[in-house]
Amino acid sequence: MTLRLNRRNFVLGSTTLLAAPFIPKLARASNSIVAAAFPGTWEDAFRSIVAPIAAQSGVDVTIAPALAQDQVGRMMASAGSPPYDALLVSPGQTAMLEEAGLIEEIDPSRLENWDLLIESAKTPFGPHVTVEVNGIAYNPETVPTPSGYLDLFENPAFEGRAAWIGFGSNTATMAWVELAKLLGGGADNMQPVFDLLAEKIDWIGAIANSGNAQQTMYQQGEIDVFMASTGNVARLRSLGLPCNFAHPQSGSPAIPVAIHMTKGASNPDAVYAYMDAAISTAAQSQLAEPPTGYVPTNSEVPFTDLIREFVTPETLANAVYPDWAAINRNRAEWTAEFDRVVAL
Amino acid sequence: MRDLRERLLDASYWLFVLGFGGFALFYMIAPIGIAVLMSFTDGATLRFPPQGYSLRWYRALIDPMQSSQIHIAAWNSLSIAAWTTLGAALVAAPAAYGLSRMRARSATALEPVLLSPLVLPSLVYALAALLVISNLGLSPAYGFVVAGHIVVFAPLMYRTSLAVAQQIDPSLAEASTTLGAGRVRTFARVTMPALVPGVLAGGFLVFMQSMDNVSVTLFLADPRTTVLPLRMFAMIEESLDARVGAISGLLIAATILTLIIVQRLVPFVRRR
Amino acid sequence: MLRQGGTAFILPMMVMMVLCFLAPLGVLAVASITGPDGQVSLANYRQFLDDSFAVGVLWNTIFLGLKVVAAVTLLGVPIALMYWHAGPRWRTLILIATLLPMLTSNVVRTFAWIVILGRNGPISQSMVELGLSPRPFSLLFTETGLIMALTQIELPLLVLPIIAVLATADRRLVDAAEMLGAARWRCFLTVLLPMMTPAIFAGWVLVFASATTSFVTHSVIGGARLIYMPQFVYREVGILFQWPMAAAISFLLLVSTGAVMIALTLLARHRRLAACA
Repeated sequence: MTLRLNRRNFVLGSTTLLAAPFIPKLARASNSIVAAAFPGTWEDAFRSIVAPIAAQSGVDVTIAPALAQDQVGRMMASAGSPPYDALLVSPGQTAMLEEAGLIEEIDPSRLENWDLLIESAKTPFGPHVTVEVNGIAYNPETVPTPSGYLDLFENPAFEGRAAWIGFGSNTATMAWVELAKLLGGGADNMQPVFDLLAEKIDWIGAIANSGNAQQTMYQQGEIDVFMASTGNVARLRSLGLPCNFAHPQSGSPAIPVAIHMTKGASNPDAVYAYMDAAISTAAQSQLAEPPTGYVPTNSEVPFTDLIREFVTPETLANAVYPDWAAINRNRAEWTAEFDRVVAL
Repeated sequence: MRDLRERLLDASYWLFVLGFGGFALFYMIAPIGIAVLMSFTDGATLRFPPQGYSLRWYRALIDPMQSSQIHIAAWNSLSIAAWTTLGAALVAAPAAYGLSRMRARSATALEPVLLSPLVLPSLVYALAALLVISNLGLSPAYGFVVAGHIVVFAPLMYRTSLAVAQQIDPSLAEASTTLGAGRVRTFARVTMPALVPGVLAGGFLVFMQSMDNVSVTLFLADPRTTVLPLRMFAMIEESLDARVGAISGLLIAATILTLIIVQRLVPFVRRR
Repeated sequence: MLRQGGTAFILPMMVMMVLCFLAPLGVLAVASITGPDGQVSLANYRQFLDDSFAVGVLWNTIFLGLKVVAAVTLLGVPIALMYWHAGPRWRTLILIATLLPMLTSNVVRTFAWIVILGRNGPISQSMVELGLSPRPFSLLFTETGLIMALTQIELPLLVLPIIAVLATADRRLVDAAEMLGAARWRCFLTVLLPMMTPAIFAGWVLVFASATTSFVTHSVIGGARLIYMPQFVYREVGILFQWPMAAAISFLLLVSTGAVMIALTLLARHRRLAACA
């Protein structure tokens, strides 16, 4: 028998192929979930490391890229049927999601690897998968090592070389709060920062739109300094670019990253399996290697050379953990004010 | 004296047309040339000018291991564009035909409604559509993306079809109905074949615009569905991933090829 | 009979446009005048219009559109004239050269402009080499750079309608004028320009609509310090979750750009009437 590709067959075949996305439930295994991850390095790492480990317990995880704040936006836009089964966010977003009743408390007894977690990584709404340590990324070939946030506004070597971003980003927000503290303000008083910005706006190299955009600008040689996590620096190095990480004298802001289960998640068992995979020794050992270099929350996983170059257990102990409740109270106002101050 | 003045004036005219026009043409094309040039870089980053040339990013792009996510996004974009083109042809071609057979006055009254999506920002429309969808208790989905694209891009198809429909001789259809064919039959057998050039040209435009759309997809797609332009933006933003250059190169090559074929089949601009 | 038959053919698209396009916009309008307690209120609009910064953003957006329209006209008309004077082979080439940027992915164009406008890009490099600038400079995140990029992206929207008119225009009109010894400029001003005018106006509307709303180009090339209405809308939805405010801002964008476009269209009508008379 020969397969005849007549017109009817062709039309039928291609229609079936094209129509597949319209019937998603049929096209997917029933044991599948959608998990959000930050776009870029995070997304790649979760797809190539965490998802295959979850697959070993028969769970099919689709990693959907979205920034923390975008995940909250999408969750709020369709509260009835959540677009994700699992989220990947930081404490600022956790507080908002908790308040809006969009995430579930978890039952730790359903996670095999729960007891391997360090104490601070165990939260009622899910495990922390890593702690990001933030600081200042700089190009050692063009600028000196910055001593802290204020240095960037005072040392002429940095004039026109540093990029900053607005309060939509967690990394930037933490840097601004630290800067506010140095200037006599704090998480409830951002005015000194806005005053400084208004005065020194032409001193700043560029105001970018997103944290990721800064990495592009760094590559193009547009800027030499930006507020970054150790992960950003590891990533730029893996592309063969010279890039160092500086700890600000005032302390390095640290921010945990947690997985949450959304309220109304289609398949809680699968979400538990995914969480378990993300905190497993196998996954975290791999995530601690280049190019990601994520600080493990699993106590069995040692710090790799890459991590130790930036972070020691002491750095973590002395890290600054910002007051996210205060930040959330003010974030909308700061966002609007920031636009006004930097607008041309 | 006067002769010289006129000649100088004429020369300034040619300077304006050829000098300015030549510059403008160059200005329009150069960025595309640069994008193609960058795609052959052998460096890890997209710095200009490239230090050396190679096909490594094209190879990386084709490699299913490294670039499976890009392949999925490309497939999503292609299938959305295909459905959009089909949908747009189904509503817009008959509408163009219908309008060309109406009194001029009613046509001018109706036409703005049909063309309005062309001038209204698609971002605003996407927001409005998302509002309706969530008010209905539904969540963003693939089907909504296609529907949104059809609404926004059908007017393009309508315009190219109308240009053709206006040239169809009404007596053809009349003859067909006189011979006893029903209206639907007449449309299918007589009018539709005549409309084909307009639908093809429109289909090309709709397909390309749909492939390129960000705002409607951004608001209406479920998180699982990533499309090529969004994926490319993420790649550019995060690391100026050099594979973006290779995708650009392929897209440009495909566009030129299709453009030449379509131009052969149905000239966008009819010569007298 | 056939004339009435037209209605049935239009019906599907008409219904689609009303239900799927105009109705959602209506819902958006209602959302924009809904206060927090569900009452009808103009508070969102008042908040926006009382805020001199926000109103400034609105004006900047409109000015940006007008600047792009001006730049596009300056470059687009010569291209059209080149097309007019060219032979068939060149005409096809010019046409393809015009269609190509329009059909090239927005991402590709934006990506190319990041490279072109950057500190290490061709513009900065050649300026330094020619001695016109003491050191490399970046046009990224400047209004000049944004206008340059938008101009390239929107040029085809103006050139194509003009070319469409010229392609079907009667050559003899111009030939006659030339034979009468009219100088080139006069020929252009008295014969060609009036012929092109309706198409130019149509192009302006498209260029303006596109330049004021291309969110992606604004944010990637313009950066965070140049704020236009689309970014405002996106921020209200994506970061602040203020839907009614976003709806109100969208509507203001719609109404203000709509007003400019209607003004342009009226101008076109007026010119055409004048030409007929």
